[in-house]
Amino acid sequence: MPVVAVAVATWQVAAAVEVGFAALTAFQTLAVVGSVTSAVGAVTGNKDLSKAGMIMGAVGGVGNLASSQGWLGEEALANSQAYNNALFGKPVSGSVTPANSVIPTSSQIVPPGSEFLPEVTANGTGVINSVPATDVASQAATEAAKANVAGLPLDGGSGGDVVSGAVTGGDVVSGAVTGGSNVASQTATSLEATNSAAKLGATSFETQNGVEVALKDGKVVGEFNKVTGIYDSVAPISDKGFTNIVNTATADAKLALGKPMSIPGVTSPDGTGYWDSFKAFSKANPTIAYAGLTTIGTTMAGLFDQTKAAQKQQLEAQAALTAQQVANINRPIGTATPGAPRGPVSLLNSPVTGRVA
Amino acid sequence: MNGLIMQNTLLKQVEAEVEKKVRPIHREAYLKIVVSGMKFAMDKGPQGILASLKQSKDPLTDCVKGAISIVGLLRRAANGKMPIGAMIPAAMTLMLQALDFADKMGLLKVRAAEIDKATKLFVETLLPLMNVPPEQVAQMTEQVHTIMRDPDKMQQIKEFQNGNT
Repeated sequence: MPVVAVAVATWQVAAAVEVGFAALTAFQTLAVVGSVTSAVGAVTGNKDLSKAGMIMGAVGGVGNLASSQGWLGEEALANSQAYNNALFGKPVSGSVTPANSVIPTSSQIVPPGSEFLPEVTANGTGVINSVPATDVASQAATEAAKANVAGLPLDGGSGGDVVSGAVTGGDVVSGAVTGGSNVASQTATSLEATNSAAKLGATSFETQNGVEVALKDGKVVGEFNKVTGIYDSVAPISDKGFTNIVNTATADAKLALGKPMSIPGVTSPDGTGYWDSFKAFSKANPTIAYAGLTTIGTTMAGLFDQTKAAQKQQLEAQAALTAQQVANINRPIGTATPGAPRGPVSLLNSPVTGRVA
Repeated sequence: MNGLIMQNTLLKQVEAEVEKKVRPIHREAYLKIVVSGMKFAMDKGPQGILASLKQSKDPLTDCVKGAISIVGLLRRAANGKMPIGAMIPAAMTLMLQALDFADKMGLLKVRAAEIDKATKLFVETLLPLMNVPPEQVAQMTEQVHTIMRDPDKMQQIKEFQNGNT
């Protein structure tokens, strides 16, 4: 399909020039991808998909936290520097300190051993009961449980419940989307943070749902990123440029016509490399503690964008209409209906005679 | 709003569930990306990108890769300023919309198995495009695994939980 090829080729160009950004957000990416994956599994009833999503979310979430704490060694530092280089165009003088001054308050944290995500209802989304951190830290318990683990069957296999004790339902780590970055609110005081907030035009700061945000004229313009130690913009597309972006993307598609479709970085053609990692993880961690992960609410109340929602509805209706139009175009063209009238048809069976008053 | 117009009940439910995962702070960006993506896909109506699915030999794959690619194009057009937390769920929603479209046109029957397959393909397509290849995922998984087996680290995590540090 040529159009898809065009689009992928363009994506490659975009990805290639943003190496620093991509490297920086690997854990975040995994956390968000895990979140949507588990969401799908929760609805379709595919527990394997849910588990894989959960593990992705856990790896992304814990990894994000670990990175912010400097537990991943030089990598976090290198990523921060790469990000800053990409952002500011030159290396930042002095050391780039990972934001490791995170001190969560007790109200923001799910206590060890308590139910994880208690607000998640069992119908449709399921509930996870957390495993006390001590269970996971306990090597003996882990090794003992290992013996009963059959692995993670991602292809509809009949393997055992690999995260026994951790999963009781479908949806798993909605909190993982927020990952380690939301384990706690934090005070962003570094120079990089100040500079990034200034670039966004921030005039005030506050904590919303456990996330430090920068505000301009009362509107959130940035979200503090613990990994980079700077404020990320949360206004990616301005309303003014909304239409222009669609036009630009259309123009990009035209420019990229004819470029071949290939996906860089895939060494496993069928993509199984990803699932193997999660399978191995689940085998090695039959009981998974989500200590360190917590969730912020995903309450939409008061934040729903009615304008965009209405636009989306209109577009969905338009999609339905387009589908019908396409279906009509594809419909086989006319065959004569048996028994159809032939020849001239008189409108009246009995001509009126005489005068009509 | 969730999937009011989508015809396939299961796809509607998945869309609603995905939208629940979007954090409030990314809600507006998410909707902008979805709306932009749908406008882009439906430009030129029956001759547009979405409608071109009728020519596809593998509609499921093209629904997945097309949705991801459209978001990629939009991201580029937005100069890369697109938060991950909005971009990935938006790509998933556009994929679901494309699947619903294909379902309506009779190109494929979308049931749970098809959605699962599309989701796996979504992951396998998106992660490498985000420069997160399988090797890196394996490395990241191993790093987290190591942390989770380290009693000291776990203790620190526990202390974070208790707010004692």
